[in-house]
Amino acid sequence: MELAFFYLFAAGIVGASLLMVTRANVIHAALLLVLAFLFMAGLFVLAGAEFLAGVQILIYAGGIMVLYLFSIMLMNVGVAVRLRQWHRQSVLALAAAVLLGAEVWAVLGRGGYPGAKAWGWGLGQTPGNVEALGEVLYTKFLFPFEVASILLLAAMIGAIVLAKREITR
Amino acid sequence: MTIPFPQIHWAYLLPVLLVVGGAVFVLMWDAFFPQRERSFLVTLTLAVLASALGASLAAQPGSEAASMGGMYLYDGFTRFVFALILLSSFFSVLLSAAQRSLEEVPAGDYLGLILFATSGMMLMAATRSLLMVFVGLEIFSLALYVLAGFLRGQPEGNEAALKYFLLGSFASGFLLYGMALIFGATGSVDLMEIAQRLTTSPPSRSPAFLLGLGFVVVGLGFKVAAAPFYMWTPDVYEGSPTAVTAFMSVGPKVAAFAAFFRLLLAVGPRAGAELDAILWVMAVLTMTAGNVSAIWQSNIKRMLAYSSIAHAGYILVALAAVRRGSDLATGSFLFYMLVYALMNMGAFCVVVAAGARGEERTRIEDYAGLGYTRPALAAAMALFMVSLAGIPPTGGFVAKFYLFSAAVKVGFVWLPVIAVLNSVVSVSYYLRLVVLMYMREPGEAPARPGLLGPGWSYALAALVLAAAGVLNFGIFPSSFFELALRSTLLLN
Repeated sequence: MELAFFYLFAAGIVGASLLMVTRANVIHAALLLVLAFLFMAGLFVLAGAEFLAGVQILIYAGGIMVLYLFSIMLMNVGVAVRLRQWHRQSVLALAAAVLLGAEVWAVLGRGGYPGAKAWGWGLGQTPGNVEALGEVLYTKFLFPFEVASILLLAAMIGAIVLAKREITR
Repeated sequence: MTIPFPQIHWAYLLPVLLVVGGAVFVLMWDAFFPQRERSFLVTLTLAVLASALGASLAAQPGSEAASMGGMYLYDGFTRFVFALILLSSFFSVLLSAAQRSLEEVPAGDYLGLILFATSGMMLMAATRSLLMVFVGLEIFSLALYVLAGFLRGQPEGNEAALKYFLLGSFASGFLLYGMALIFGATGSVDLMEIAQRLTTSPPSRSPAFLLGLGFVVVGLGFKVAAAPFYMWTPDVYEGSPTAVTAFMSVGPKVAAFAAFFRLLLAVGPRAGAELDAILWVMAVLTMTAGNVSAIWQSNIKRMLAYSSIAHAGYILVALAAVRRGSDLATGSFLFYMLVYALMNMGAFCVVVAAGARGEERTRIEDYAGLGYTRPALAAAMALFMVSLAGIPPTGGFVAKFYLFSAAVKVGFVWLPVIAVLNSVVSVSYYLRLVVLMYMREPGEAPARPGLLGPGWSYALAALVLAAAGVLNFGIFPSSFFELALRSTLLLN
């Protein structure tokens, strides 16, 4: 049963991604990307990573897609449809894809992630993925968690600085 | 379930807290009292940086160096690197206050971002955790992307910011991917745990670990502008405001190299035999590409950009020596960075001070005859150039001497030889500027430009500080070199 769902989701990801890169219309491509993200969230659930599945939908399918659609809307979609899609780089792209595939095979096929098997992932004993994540986030990884707020603050101020001065001039 | 409060040594954390608090305070002050004098905010920022420097010098690193399970690490190395980063921020604030083209920008935003960048660099250098390395790196990178394009009216500035942002985020991707692979191979992001696990079992041979290590080297190599990842440097350095360029050429390099050293000290001797060849080639490529390209430049900021690439190459020599287990190399790296910070900041300060209100003097030709029109400025520039070239009795010579001899002591033969040959090449373009300043008639220079602007006192302070340091480290280097060596004692 689980295997059947795995193949279903995997086929969904591959199909949606293939359709995405072959569409001429960028809006269609963006929506197909959402579909791929949703299937990927399904894979995460199957792997027992509920938190990652939720984040995948919230951040990628939600936040990042909206960002994509906004930037697409700022461009002129009509022009983009008539442009050539490949820029004669399909061979290069294929080579890169094969290289990446070989790399993944080398890492996972030979040895995999030995540390993960031998020492665990550093998560606590708490059952459930979300609880375990919450526990390490507020104990072991408290400092980076707090420092990330400085990162967000700096990023926010930077964005405001760039936008604000655009308006005043 | 109870969550224990983590153990925090507040005295050790104080320098970072001061800088972050200062950044927020400067921003708030500017928001609530926008009509106040700009010089007030500059003084406040300088005071924040000076007090953070005082706090880090006062906090003696003890046996309890690691807070929060190694996320924040305060040892002698951290203390010295903090001093370097704060010094470079101090200089860049002085330069920003002196630069005429930055007079109109909103001071609170600008200074706040400088302080945020400083805090990111400090956090990146003061940790044993790859996670904190990444978060710190992102904090200062984001702040620097914005600072690079701060003068929005200039197309070069926009180009610099965009280029830096796109390539920088790509490099961050490499770094993060590499860290994830290392985590997968060893099950930890803590460098000490990673090192332990490398000795007890063979994940060091696993493809995941080696690939991850390679990606991390690429990401850090981009941030320190090592070949072949240095292509962005000249354009970004040329387009950014000069004070920001000065900051970029020192601060991020100190932080990224500090993280690089910690990584190699932990995993280098156990797992990185492959790294030997990579570091060797990177060092040779970086210094040769930097020095050879610098010869042909006609823009002084581009020339200094290539010169900073060459200096990154010299430091990579020390990294290769650290990989082989040299204790001397880390100390000479710290001392080299100290001298490099002073001479590079000094050179950029001359560029800032020579600029007039409307335009900056960025062409090398503009410096013809400076020895007659502005003797003091030209003398300072000559001193910094001689030091950058590594000629005694300046700090640059001593720093290079320590660095290369550390490499010789661990058995490198060709690497120091190539480095010395490169220094000889570099003399040609550094001294070309000196020759131009003293042996050519002045062109049609502006009548009384530059220094008489409102920021002259800041430029003067920076120049005097940098020149005194360069001379002091050239003539009496031993006490500071001892300090640098002692700072590395408790490492590992």
